[in-house]
Amino acid sequence: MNQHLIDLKNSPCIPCNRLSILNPSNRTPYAKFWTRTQHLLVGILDLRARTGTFTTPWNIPSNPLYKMPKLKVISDSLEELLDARATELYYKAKKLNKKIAVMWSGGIDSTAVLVAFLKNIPYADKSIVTVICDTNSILENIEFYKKFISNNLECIHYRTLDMTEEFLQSYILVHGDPGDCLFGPSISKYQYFIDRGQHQEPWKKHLDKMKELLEMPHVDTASYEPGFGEWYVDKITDNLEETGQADYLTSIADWWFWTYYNFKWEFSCQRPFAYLRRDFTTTFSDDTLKEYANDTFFNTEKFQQWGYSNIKKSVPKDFALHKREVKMYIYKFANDLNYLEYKPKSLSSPANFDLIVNAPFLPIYYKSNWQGVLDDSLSIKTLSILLERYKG
Amino acid sequence: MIKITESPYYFSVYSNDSSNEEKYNFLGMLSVTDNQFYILHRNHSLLKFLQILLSKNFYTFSIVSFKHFNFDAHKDIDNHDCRDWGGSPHMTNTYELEANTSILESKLIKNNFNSFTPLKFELQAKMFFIMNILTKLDKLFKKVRDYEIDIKKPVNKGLDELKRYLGIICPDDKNISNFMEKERQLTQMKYLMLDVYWDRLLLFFYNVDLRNSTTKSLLESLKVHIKRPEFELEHLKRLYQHPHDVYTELCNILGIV
Repeated sequence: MNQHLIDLKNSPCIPCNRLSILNPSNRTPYAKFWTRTQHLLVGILDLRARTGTFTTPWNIPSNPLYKMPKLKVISDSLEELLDARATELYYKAKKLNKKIAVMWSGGIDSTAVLVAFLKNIPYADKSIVTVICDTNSILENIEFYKKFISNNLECIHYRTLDMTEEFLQSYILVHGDPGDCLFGPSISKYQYFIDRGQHQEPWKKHLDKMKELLEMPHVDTASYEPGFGEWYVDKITDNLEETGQADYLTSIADWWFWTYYNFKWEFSCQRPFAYLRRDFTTTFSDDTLKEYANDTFFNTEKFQQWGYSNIKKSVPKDFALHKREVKMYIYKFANDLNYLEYKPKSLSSPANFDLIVNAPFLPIYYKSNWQGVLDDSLSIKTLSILLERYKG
Repeated sequence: MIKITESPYYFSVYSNDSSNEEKYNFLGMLSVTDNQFYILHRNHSLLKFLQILLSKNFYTFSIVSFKHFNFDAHKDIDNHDCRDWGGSPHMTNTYELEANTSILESKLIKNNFNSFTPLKFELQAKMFFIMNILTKLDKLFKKVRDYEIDIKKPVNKGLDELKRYLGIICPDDKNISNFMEKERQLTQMKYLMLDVYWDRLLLFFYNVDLRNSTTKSLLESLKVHIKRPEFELEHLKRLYQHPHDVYTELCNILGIV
């Protein structure tokens, strides 16, 4: 087995936005389908199932550090969980003499994380928090920035920070990912149903329409292959039924919740390894990777069970109430009614920026220590063969 | 006699796209030691670099602007016969890096001798090689730079406005100004990197052994140079792909297959 294959078998991420440079000699429909999944996953570079069957061209097992907990309904309040998690990480940071770096995009999830720390850390200790943001973050939530960050907390520009082993030894890094997987998935994928007030209707009733909507022949026509919608919807649906969740996650919104919760979680938690790096040749030790996973704010059993328990509340019939629970938590602290009532869910800008601008410099895959491998001819050949052999 | 027009790097100083007004707005490299022009060109900056490169190798040349000369007597002067021309004594008696052509007595004179030795020809051929390659590269880099600056104009304008308004909204803020500056640098990064590559190319030419190289060996050395890791050709290739494929155009200029 060549070294590339060994490294690939243990890779934490094979970015789907770099697959277009692969050239499988036999471009099967499934190779095209997989390449096309990138259009479903804004900001997400890799998909893999935490539970159940979900074959990929690479067949890399899910990382146990991001495993799905036993799925059960719990009654804890979100407020209790957010407060407890911030307190836990604050005391851990104090004990280890680390600072807490909060990646703040200005969006709902990362604002909730920042609020949790501001609320639960003694005022005299506020210097333990550093905010990582940019101008887009400020614009996404100007009033919050003005009231709670400006001249109050140390800020580092998102693009000046290089996440390295040394950085993670000095900082506990926290961010709002994978908030979407907990508090309500991206709405654009089922906007059609929201517009018609149908997103809470059973997915079993609308499978044909869901497939049709994912055909998307207008996106990336070069890789368009008829049948993508059917392939993808069947793949997720099969997994949902196999894992015994089809009777609990019954609506169209639930169906999309599952695509996030099961398949996007792992990469979403680890997104900074792809987005907050300036030098992809650097590596991370096993201990640091383990600590990073433990410190990832939402990567706890309780948060995951809360998301599972409250899916109906997170994506209600009235879409204006989307992510209401999280926004209420922020509102209680910031007292900004305008934010509570009108702040929509939106994509954080850094993710967008990096995808477009840095794509030619992003690795074609990462080794288990998150060292990036550029698209040299052998890597391209190895990945092309695997993609060519993909049977869906 | 060997003819410079037979060099694959020969070019005329006149181009089809220059207007009548600009027809004689070019410059010449005048050898101070033998009062002969070796090359005529329109890009003062590139000629200045060539002058430095020649000086390093102990060849002394003055840059002469033709813009204000009376061209009645020599209206067809071009690179193919520039070596037949020199400067009047008023111009050449006092050596200057930039010849003073503003005084009335400065004019061109036809040389009565025909002494372009093989060594002089060799130097002239190298000058044509260097200027030919640099001119093409300069045009390529300028095209990409202009594009990058043009597409970033609205972004930079937006940053200026944003800075102004956020300054009103958060008057005492200490981050916004720094953030804007950082983001402005990021918007400029792509075309500033072009300058880095351009400087690397100029340094190559500055460092070559001009006296002991042929045009052929210079070209081969340049091809080797850009493939060295420190030149970061792969980075250049990835950075500028659309709408101008700089890597492919660079290879075409250097004849890299």
